[in-house]
Amino acid sequence: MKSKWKNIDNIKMLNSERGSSSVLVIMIMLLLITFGVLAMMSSYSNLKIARKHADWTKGYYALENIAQKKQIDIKNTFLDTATQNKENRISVDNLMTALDFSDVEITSISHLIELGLSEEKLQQTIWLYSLYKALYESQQVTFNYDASIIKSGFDGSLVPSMSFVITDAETQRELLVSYNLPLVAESNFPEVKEWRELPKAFEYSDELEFGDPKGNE
Amino acid sequence: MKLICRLVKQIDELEVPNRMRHSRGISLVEIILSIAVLALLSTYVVQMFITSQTLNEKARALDESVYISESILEAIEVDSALDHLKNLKVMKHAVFTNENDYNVIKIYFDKDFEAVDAKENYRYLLQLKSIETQALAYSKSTYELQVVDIESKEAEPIYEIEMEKYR
Repeated sequence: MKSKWKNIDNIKMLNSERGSSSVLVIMIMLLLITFGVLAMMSSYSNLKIARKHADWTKGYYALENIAQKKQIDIKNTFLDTATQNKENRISVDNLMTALDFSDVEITSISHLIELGLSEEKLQQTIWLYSLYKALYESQQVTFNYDASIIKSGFDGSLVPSMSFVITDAETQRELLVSYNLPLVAESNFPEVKEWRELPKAFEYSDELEFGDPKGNE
Repeated sequence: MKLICRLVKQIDELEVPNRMRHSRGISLVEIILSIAVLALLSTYVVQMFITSQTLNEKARALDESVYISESILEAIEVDSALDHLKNLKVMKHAVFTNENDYNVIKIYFDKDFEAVDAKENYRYLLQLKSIETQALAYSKSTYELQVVDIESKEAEPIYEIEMEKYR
C-alpha cells in the first residue's frame, strides 16, 4: 500500500513543472559562460600571436642593425685593402713589400713564381690573401679559402666568398651575411649574396625513438 | 462560444488532483526569480564578452601597427630619402616637421587604421623620428618609429621599433 502511494508521489513529481525555469536559466547561463570563455580564450591567443609577431619583427630589425654596423666596418676595411692593392699592383715585388706578408714564408711566394703562375693569377692570389689577412682576425669574417692559398696559388677552381654571422646577445638570434668576392681589387664593395636569419638548432628529444620505416634493425 | 464554454467545463470536471493542477506551469514568482538570476549572472558574462572584444581590438591594433611600421621601414631600406616616402599610400595626410635636429613624420589614423587628416578625429598616431649622425668612417641614420593609441589609458605606445642605416 505504501509503495503504491510512493509511486503516485513519483508520478506527481515527474509531472510537476516546478523549477523548470531555474533549470532553463542554468542551462542558458552555462551556454553563455561557455561561449564567453571560448571568446576570451580565442581573443587572448590572438593577442599572444600578435605580440609574438611584433617581438619577432622588432628583434629582426635589432639583428639587422648589428649586421649593418658590422657590414660598414667590413666595407671600410675591404675598400682600404682594395685601394692599397690597386696602388701597388704595378709589380708583384711592389705589392709584396707594400703589404705585410711577414707571417707567410717569403719562400712560398717565391715558390709561386717558380711554379710559373701567371702575373694575373699571382695578382689574384695576393689580392685574396691580403683580403683574408685584413678581415679574418679583425672582423671574424669567414672565407671559403684559407692562408694556404698563398702557398698553393689561386687556381680559379672556386668562387671566392666571405661571410659572417651576427648573434644578438639578447635574443640569441643569428643572421648570416655572405658575399662573392671579386678576383681583382675593386673600389666597389661586392653585393650581398645571402642575408638571412639562421634557424635555431633543434634537438630531438632522446625519449623519442626513431626507427627505420622499412623495419630494418 | 457555447462550444468553448462546454470544453472549459469538461476540462474542469476532469479528475485531476488539486495539488497536481496547481503544480503545472511556471508561476510569476519563478519567472521573476529566474530573470533576476539571469540578469545578475549576465553581468559577468557580458563583462567576459567586453574583455574579449577589448583583447581583439588590442591584437588588431598591434597587428596593423607592425604591418604599417614594417612597410615604412622597408620603404626606407630601399631609399632612405624621406621625400621618397611621400609616395606611400599611408603618407597621404602625413605631416613632416623638424624637432630638435630630428626629422619627424606624423601620420594620423582613425579607428580602422585608415590614414586621416590631423584635423579629423583620429585614434592612432604614428610618429617616425629620424636623425643622421656623422662618424669618421661612415654616416649613421637612426629611425625611431612608434605608434600610440591616444584613447588608451596606458602610457606605453602600442608598438615601437628602431632601425639603423649606415652609409
